[in-house]
Amino acid sequence: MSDPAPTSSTTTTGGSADNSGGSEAGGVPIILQGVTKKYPGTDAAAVDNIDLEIGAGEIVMLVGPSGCGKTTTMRMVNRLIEPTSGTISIDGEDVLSLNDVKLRRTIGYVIQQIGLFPHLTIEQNVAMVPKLLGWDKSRISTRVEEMLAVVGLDPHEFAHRFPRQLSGGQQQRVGVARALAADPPIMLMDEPFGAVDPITRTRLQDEFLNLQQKLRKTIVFVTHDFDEAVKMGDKIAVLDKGSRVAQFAAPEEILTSPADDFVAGFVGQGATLKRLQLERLDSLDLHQSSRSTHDGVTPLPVRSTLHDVLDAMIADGRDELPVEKDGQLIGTVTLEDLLDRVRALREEADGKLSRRGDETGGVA
Amino acid sequence: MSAAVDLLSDPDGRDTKLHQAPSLLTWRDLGIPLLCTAVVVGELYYLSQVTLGASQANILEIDNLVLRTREHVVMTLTITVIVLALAVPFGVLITRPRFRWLASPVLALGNIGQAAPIVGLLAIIGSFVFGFWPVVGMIAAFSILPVLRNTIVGIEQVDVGVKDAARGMGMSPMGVLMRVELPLAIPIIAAGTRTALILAVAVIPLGTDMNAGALGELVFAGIKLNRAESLVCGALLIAVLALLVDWASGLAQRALTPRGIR
Ligand SMILES: Nc1ncnc2c1ncn2[C@@H]1O[C@H](COP(=O)(O)OP(=O)(O)OP(=O)(O)O)[C@@H](O)[C@H]1O
Ligand SMILES: [Mg+2]
Repeated sequence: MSDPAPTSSTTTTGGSADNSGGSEAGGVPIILQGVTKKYPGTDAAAVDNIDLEIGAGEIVMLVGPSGCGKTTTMRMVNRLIEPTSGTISIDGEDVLSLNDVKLRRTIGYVIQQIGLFPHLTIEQNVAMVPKLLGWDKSRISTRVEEMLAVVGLDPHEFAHRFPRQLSGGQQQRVGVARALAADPPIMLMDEPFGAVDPITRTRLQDEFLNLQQKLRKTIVFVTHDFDEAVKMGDKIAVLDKGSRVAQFAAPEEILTSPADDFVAGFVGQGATLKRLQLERLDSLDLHQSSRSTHDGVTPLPVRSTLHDVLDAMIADGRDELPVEKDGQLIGTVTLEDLLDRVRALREEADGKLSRRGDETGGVA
Repeated sequence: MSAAVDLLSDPDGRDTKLHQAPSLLTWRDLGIPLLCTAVVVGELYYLSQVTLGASQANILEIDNLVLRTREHVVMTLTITVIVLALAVPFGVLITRPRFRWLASPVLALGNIGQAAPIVGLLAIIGSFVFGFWPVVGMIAAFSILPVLRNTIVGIEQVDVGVKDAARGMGMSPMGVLMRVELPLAIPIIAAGTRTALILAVAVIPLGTDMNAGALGELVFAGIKLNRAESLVCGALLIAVLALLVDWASGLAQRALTPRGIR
């Protein structure tokens, strides 16, 4: 709170140094092999023989119906639950060979039930892991302010409140700040934005993706919102009952070629439109045309997604719209361009699918 | 960013009275001590005005009153210390995973124990042993039950999500206990202790026959001599002590409860 100004910039970036292992990503790979969890007294395994490889610095989204074992899978990574069989390794080390308490201090965990400490202030909640790690006071308080700002909570307003004096969505954001505080190389996030409104959620997602671009943590992220999965994920694992991996692929691939009916059902209606959210205008060749024809039409920024472009065309009732970059008109885009692009994506996906079919004799 | 922050800030100003801590002591808290002072002063004034027979004069001498009161307080405090020192650690132990199976039998046993008539027990044991420690020991054994039960309940009622988060962020089991479970169980443990204390103050006089002293001396002397002054004086002082102990432990309970859950 006082004035530790000179150190603040180093605390922002330096946190995970001891775990980064020299790679560019701040995160480390997590590999699950044949992991099974059977709770005592139940017949079916909650997690049945799951294999999952999560690369360093990747965001992997887990989606699947309620009770399919997402939380269980996640909690085996930080050993809150011990697997019945199978191995989990983090950065090449079997987690069962590590000290569980120390392991958990290097893994940020946002739990589904939020779980803030009701007797501690927001500041003390966020400061907990750095404190356990023995950071000094001024470094902790700088860090707490920084983390609260990241999740959009004004430190001056919120730092000294208690959890019960916050709304559910605000509490959830404190949960995220708390998990990020010690800058762990791995984050496990169980529906971290479930209780916030769509506007705040979008802002938090953007903020988080920005942060992730700098930090390159390895993130396992559970969500029920498929659009969130598409937006946030480097890869999406669609899970069925018992954590059966129905498909594990990049969002683009899941949208254009769902592996089976179950995945297709999960993607839901409008897969093509969702696919257009992942493409931006700068991926198209624009047409050159005279300015005069587009008087009175607001040009689209070149960073717009194709989804936005289509939306604008329908709204304006035009099949051609101008595009601008840094305030300069740089060309136009037509409805025909969009349709061509969709066709190309489809063919690309079909090509991949048949290639994969040739290699493996079908989709797993 | 600033627009977003505005948007997110609390619309109903829930924070306005947040930053001043609720004060621990209010005017209403002074009622009980004032009442007790008034009763004691009134009684002492009354005693100074009446002429007491020789048999009662010694008993109701101010020095004796102070002595008996002090004995009562010392016994109460001793019992409290013993009860807390045994019940809390034992209660904590029972809530650890390894001993959790003990919880329900212990609670059941506790309820049976609670139902056993302590007067009868004191009478039976009182025919074999005498003095301070047997009385203190027996009342302590009896008062342990509410504290033990509340320790177990207090720790078990801590939100699973909160304990989970604590474990998940890398607190050791001892860390979870000291930083999370016990602080959150304090209000309930304190409530049990308060019950136990008042029970102790009220039961101590029954140990008078075992030569443990305390304010019961006045009451029983009054009964033996068939004199109201001594009996009433003893009863009043015991009542005053019980009220004060309840008052003080109520304050302590409030002070010990973490502010976030008060
Ligand atoms: N402690 C437990 N004991 C027994 N069964 C459990 C336990 N925890 C979870 N289960 C069962 O294991 C299965 C998977 O639970 P899990 O919490 O992992 O689901 P999930 O995918 O996270 O669901 P949700 O989306 O609703 O959070 C469920 O069928 C659940 O009933
Ligand atoms: Mg879950």
